[in-house]
Amino acid sequence: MLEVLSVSIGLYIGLGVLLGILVGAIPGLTATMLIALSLPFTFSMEPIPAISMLVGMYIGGVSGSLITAIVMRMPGTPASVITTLDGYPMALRGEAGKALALAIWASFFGGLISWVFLVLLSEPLSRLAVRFSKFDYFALIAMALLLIVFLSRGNMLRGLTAGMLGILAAVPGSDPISGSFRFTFGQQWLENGFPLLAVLIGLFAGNQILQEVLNLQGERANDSKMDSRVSLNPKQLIRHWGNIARSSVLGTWIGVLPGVGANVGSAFAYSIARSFSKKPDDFGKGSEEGLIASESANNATVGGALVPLVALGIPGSVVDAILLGGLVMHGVQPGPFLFRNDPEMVYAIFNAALIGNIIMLVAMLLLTRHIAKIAAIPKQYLLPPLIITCIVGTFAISNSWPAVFIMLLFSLFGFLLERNDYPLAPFVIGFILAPLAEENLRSATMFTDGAILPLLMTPLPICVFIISVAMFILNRRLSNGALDD
Amino acid sequence: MTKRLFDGFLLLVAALFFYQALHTKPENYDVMGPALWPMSVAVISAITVAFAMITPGADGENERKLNARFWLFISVIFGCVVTLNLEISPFFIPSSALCLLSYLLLSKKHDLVSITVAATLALAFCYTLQWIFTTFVNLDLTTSFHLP
Repeated sequence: MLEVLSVSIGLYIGLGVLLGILVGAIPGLTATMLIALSLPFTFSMEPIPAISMLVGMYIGGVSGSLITAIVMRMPGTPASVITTLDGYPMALRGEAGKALALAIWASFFGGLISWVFLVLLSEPLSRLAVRFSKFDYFALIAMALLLIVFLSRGNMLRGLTAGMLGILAAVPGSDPISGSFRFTFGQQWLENGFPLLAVLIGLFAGNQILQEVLNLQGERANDSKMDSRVSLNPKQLIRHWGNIARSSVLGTWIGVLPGVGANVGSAFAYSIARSFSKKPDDFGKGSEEGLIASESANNATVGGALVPLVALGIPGSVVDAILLGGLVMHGVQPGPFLFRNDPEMVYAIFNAALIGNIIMLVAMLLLTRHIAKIAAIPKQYLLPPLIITCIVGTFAISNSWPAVFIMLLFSLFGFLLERNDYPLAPFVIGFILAPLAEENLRSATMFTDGAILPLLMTPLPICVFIISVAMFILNRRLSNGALDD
Repeated sequence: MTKRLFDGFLLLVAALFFYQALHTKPENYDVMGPALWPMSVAVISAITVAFAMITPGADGENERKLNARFWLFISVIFGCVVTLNLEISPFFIPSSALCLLSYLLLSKKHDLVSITVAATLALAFCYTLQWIFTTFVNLDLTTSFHLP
């Protein structure tokens, strides 16, 4: 327990936050990419410092993207797309410093409020989850996949296809029940399946690099509106306390739902803030309320998404799916028994979520002006070292080159998937959760002699179905109405 | 057209998994067996891909075409990884070549000064990376020449 509170862990968290802010601020590079790429480099670290640093990267990445969203109208990550709507107009009228300060403080409070929920909800939920049957677990995993399909951008049919393909990609290798090899197509290199890290680095880092190469336009650095100090009169923040609290709670609960990410949380909170606002017409034209709602919510989803990860071993978002991979890689078994078997890891995650949030606040208030300059560096100088890092990082997984070829394969595959309107998130969630889903379903049917009626008759699967339908309807309403103008 | 081709490729993948599932031996004690889950998923994938092919989607007018620079970039990366796989030269040589070639493909500045600076930085970066990962992380990166 004392190790979790040590100075060295604080330094690792700080390093993670700073890297996350920097990467999150650069358009085209995401926290997902950073965490996927960092996983192999944490092999030589102890689990607690490694996971603490990765959580720090998560927090930094979600927060850092607001910088370029406000000063350049280029969100660093999808989480800050909504921030652009009001942040950039504020920057255009010479209030970049104020907009940044409001957004940073909103992010801090969003993260803090969600941290409270994380600490209060995780243990009771994990105690409840211990009583889940195999069918209940399968239903939860199915909900995670369905939600991410329902809430993925674009065509839902293609989202479902992507999810199914992710499940298929996880099949080759050893059978989760018997351990014997299956679907290797006679290839020895497939006996261990597709390595998780090679797939993740390929899909999120390699694919992103290919997209940046294709969209690269010129040498010119991005036009920045960063021309004032990041500062704020406290009264300007206090008068938004209601909006901060409401958006943070909404973001937290959106984050708790498995499979849902920060961009959905911020969109939802923005929409609700507009309906509560006395000046709804100002939204989209530089409204402080819109800016605060978006940033509180997207940081709140971080803590919310950690709840199912810690309590159930089910990722609350794609980034959490990669964190799940990190936990497994470091020999930690995620799931409801994590509190019992590895409480230090749980407290490490809680600690990193709190300390990371505080470090994020200080770092962003002090360093935003400099980060905005770094984020403006042309991609021609950033992409080549990034490619080498992908190659070395993937090689580090197993000290062999076949993994690198698999990474390159999935880079191209991910690129082609997105180019043909198949979203990546369902593919990744399907790939990561498929073995768990199959194991639970097959174990359950072994007990019931093949009957799956219990899956449809117990309370949890029914609740899961209701939540999935509700989120589907909510997403349709959001897509059709609230944010069109 | 390319969307149709890709959808066709996905149908092929689903068909392949279905075919393999038909030839997977069942287990005595396991009611579902190792093949039912992948078989069901393959069938659902095939159905959804088929429906997606019929459903009109984005026409891709605003998409950038895959130009020669893009394919050359991919070729350079593959070429570098193949060279690294052969383990005939120290890691930093093919990797710095990859860095330099990538920079030349992505940048419009091809004067002697820019190229010299880029080459120097690429060599320094890749050599440092090789040193760090072989010294501290004990990766099996090649550090000397092994010509056939």
